[in-house]
Amino acid sequence: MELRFDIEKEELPIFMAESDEQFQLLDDGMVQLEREGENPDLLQSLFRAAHTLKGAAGMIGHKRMVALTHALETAMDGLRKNSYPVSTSLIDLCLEATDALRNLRGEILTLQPAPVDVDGLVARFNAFVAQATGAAAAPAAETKQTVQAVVPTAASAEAASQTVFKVEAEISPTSIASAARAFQLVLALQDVGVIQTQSPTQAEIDSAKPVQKFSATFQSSQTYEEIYKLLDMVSEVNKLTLQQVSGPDTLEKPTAPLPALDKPAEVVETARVPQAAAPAVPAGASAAAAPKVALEKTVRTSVERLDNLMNLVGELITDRNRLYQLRNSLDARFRNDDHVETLSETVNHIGRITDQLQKEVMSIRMLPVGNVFSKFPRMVRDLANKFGKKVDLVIEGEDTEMDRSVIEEINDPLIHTLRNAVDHGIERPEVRLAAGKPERARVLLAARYEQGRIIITVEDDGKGIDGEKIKASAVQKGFLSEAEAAVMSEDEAVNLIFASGFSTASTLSDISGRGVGLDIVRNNIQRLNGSIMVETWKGQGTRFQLSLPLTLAIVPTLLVRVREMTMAIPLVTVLETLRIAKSDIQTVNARPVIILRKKVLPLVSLASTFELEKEDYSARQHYVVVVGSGKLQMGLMVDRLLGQEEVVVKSLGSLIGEVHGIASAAILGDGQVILIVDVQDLFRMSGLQHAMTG
Amino acid sequence: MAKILIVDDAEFLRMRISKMLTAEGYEIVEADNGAKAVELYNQVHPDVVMMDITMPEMDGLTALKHIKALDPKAKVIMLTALGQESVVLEAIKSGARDFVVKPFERERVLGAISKLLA
Repeated sequence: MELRFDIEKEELPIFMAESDEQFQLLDDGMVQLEREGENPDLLQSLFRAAHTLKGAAGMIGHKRMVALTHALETAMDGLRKNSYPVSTSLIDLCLEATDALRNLRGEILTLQPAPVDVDGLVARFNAFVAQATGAAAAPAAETKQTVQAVVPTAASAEAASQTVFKVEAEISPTSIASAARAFQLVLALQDVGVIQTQSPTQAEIDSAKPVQKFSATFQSSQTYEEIYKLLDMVSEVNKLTLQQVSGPDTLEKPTAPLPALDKPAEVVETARVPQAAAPAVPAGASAAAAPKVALEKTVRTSVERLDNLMNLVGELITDRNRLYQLRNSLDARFRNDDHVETLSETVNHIGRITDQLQKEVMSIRMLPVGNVFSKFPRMVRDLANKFGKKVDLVIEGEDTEMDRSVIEEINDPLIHTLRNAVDHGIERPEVRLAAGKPERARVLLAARYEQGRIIITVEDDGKGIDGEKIKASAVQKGFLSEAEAAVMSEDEAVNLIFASGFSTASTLSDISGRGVGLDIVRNNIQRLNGSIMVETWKGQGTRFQLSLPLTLAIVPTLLVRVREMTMAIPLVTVLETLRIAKSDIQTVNARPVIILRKKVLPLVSLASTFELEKEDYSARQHYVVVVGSGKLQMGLMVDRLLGQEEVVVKSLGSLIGEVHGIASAAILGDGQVILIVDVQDLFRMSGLQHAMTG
Repeated sequence: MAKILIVDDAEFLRMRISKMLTAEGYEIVEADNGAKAVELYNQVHPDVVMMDITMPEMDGLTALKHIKALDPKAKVIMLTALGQESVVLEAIKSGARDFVVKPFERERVLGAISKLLA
């Protein structure tokens, strides 16, 4: 069975984005609520989130979502009104409902019923509210509102010339606020005259109890038609009768009471021609045009368009580089030529504009990291509960902006790092208390800029990483010989956590386990041209620090020549460049190495690696680019160093697919297509990763 | 051309009403909270205001009172939901001219507006 919703394709993105926002608000708010207890502002915003979701779901006819959001809203309303306190069981139920709502929302895309037991959840909400309010003291008697009686205030002198009318109205039983409709009728009557009697009384109306029938007698100097028209303005009145009871002037009134006009239940047709009926001048305003204000300062646009824009700017940068080269050669050949000079100026200008354009487009693509961070409080809460730990996640710098492409990629590494902190870093509450620490642990997730890069910190105040334990585990797993372990420094030992296939947890928990280790985290971060670092203090905590580029689209590289090819090495991995002589090359374990500042540096020939040509180690001199990945270093042998250049990254495309040792491609200013090497992959290919100490 | 100010923090709802009313030839101005609504009311003098009750910053009821203070003749229709009976009554007492319940039908919204413009 296919579901149907009243929503058009172009409306979908807004519905999705808005509901995402509300889900996020609910997730975060619930977690905060559990921690802080009844906070009126927070409760209000949670109520509003449920309310907004209900409204949107109602608009598209998603009944199951409406039912569940209504239950959630009611639960929040009870909290708001202090009918019951915040409890973990309620928060759990609310979070479960939020997850269920996410699933239900998915139905709009899949058009297939999601396996969500809405009735069950609603029943649990009802049971909770019933039980919670039953347990609380009997509900206080409804506070009676002070009521002001309808006082006939009109000048009695006029009364003599007035007609007495009787009005009877039936208010639609489906109206949600029939008392308000009755009140509107009262207001209308007060507008045209003086009420003599009315039913229900004003006090009854004020109590907001439903009103089905309203009747009143009143005096008015206005005509029957005028009064009828005014009363007819009130919506949701199914039946309206107006009768003239008595009047001063029999000539002006009909000889018999007018037949009661039955008001049609349907809405008037004038709805179709509003412009004709609209007054030209708004009430209370002058006809002078009011200054236009900037109404909406933001525009939503598709990610695809931004990507296209970025691609075009990339092409433009390539052309700009080509123009620069052309200008240089023209300059060299036709110096002092007027045309060449003008051309040169124009090229410079285009260059500047292109730079600005690139910055602007980049800034459009920037998103606050809060977009990723926002879902972590909920995740950390669930994890902490699961492990029987008490953890507060503190988030800082969520406004720090970075490119959308990077944001998308850091999600998984961050999830894993946080899981790692909760699972391995933080002790159980009783252990913490015994160690004289606060029962609740604190995990800090912070972002900040530093030298054109983003630094993300995940810091816990847990037990720290025990280097000796890591060593023992590494020896047991065969990563390390006992002799190696004996001479290994504490720092090096701690960094073993990034070695592939390494895990210190004796049993893999389903959270930190699942085949994803910190090695994968490191690889993913490095793939983004980023780095990850760990610092730890025994008994006090651990800090992971991720350093990431602001964007992935443009990479500063070192261009090198390898035989007939130009290749680019991401600058972030480059430590230094060397020129070595044949005699510097030694052989250790059948591998060419050099001794650099008393340390062994393995050499890897790019020509051999990419099977261009076998490396000729007998050449008189070689150029070496020293690259690093974490604690590992190696020297890449190249034929020539060409210089630094910012290149616009182009994916290799699905036809070529993944090539070992190559990250992506780029087009240079002279139109040359080059390859960007994947340094992490080179380490893997060279087998250096397991030879920890080189 | 009658000008309608739509006030709701929910973007999807605003979009829906806006589409519906634009198709009928109305000119639409939007605000996403009560404070902005009051400010905009003062600037653009809409013929009719359609305003949500539950909003951040400044709720609909407070905004209604401010708008009524600026312009006692302001025509404000409250957008409301089930469970807000007493708030609706208070809104009417504070000068709201009508209210529509979410989720609303097209006819109901258009009817309420054309009645106020008549």
